[in-house]
Amino acid sequence: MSFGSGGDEVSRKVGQRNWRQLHTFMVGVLAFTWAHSSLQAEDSPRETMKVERVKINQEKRPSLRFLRDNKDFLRGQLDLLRQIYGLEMDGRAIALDARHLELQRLMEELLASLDAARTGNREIADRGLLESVVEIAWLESELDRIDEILRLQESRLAWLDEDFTGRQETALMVLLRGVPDGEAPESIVLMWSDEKTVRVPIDQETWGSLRMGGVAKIYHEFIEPREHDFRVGMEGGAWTMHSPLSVPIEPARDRITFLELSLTGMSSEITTSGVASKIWVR
Amino acid sequence: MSVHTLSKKPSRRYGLLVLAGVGLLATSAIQVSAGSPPFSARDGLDLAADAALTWAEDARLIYIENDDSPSTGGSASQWGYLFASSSLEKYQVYAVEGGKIRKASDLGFVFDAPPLPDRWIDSGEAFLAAEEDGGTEFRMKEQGELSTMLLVRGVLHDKNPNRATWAFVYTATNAASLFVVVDAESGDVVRKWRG
Repeated sequence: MSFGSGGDEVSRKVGQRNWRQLHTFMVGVLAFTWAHSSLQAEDSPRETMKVERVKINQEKRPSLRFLRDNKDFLRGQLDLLRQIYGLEMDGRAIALDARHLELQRLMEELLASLDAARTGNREIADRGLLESVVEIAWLESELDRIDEILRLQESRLAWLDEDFTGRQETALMVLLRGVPDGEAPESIVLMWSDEKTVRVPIDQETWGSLRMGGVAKIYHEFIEPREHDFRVGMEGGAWTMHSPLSVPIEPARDRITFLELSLTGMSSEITTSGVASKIWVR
Repeated sequence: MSVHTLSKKPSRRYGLLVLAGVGLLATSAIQVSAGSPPFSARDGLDLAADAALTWAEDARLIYIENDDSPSTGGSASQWGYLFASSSLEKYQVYAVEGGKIRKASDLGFVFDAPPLPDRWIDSGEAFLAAEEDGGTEFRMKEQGELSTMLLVRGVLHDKNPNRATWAFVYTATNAASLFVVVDAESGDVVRKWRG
């Protein structure tokens, strides 16, 4: 063993020992710091931080801004070109509804097939007895033809069914349920944000039905498929003092939106009472 | 207190921190995806037309314009559709975004443009024509951008005003705007000017 190598051994051992001591010390320091901070955290009063989602500024520019900003230029251009060329404003041919044409074609086919069926029946009736195998074969072909007529009729019915169900458009139906305490209003007033107002008088017969637990339909019309700030008011006697009640609705496109207003629990004497409403779509 | 015991609480705190971080990431992801996807002009027309026909049986489409900054490919996240009714003598604007009508309002002034024809090329196809015929060059050269897309009839086609046209307006900070007018039936660029 050389001195040099022995010295290396000693210094390696010393180094290892120092490293262990340093390691132990560092672990101790870390443990103390952690414990201290933990205790401090537990002793200090709890702070709550409210994390809120950043509100996104989704302010869009106003609709048709270019048109609004340049309306004078665009209207001037329109007038100028109209004077020079004469724009085709009116008298433009409007395409016929393809449904009507298709319905007409179906009707013609149907009438033709009825004629064919009648002719076949008459021929069979005229022959009192089928006299040969050839005639039986003829009868079979005639039955096949009737089957074909029935098949075509089924396809026509399927087209009509699809056309009927596929053409449902956006509509709103307002229903009334229940009766208020005390005096009943004379009419229900439905108001839209665009100042459209519908006044529906409620007669005694309808109130009688509502008292019996019935439901009255007071409105059913097509409506734009968008959010509406819909308001419901009541008129007659003390009800006129009530402010209209807001019922926001957003009718689903090509569906019927039902809005049921329940008057149960309302009173003409309590002007702050609200209306219970239920909305569903079919 | 042992190191082992100590290590539990911080790990629980770290767990909560990690959860909070994930939550924040999710929140930011929601924020990113909160904007409505862009769509072409024709894609929003059916909904607007449905509403317009409820507003007035004789409603006719006369004008379309992007309400939001144009996206790539001639689409926008909101479009405005203007309808006219002779019987009501009114003009109704429908702003469509995200498959819904965000706003319906009266135009507030007279704009008696003729009705648009039933057949017109969509904003994406017209946009490509405008880009090929000056739009791209303007954007590159002038550091500009497409700001407006509009469809109208009887206004911008000098030689044949009865044709509906798409107009694309490119703007730049330090240069005059570029207007590119595209025939909405043929897809040809029919007019260009700077101003």
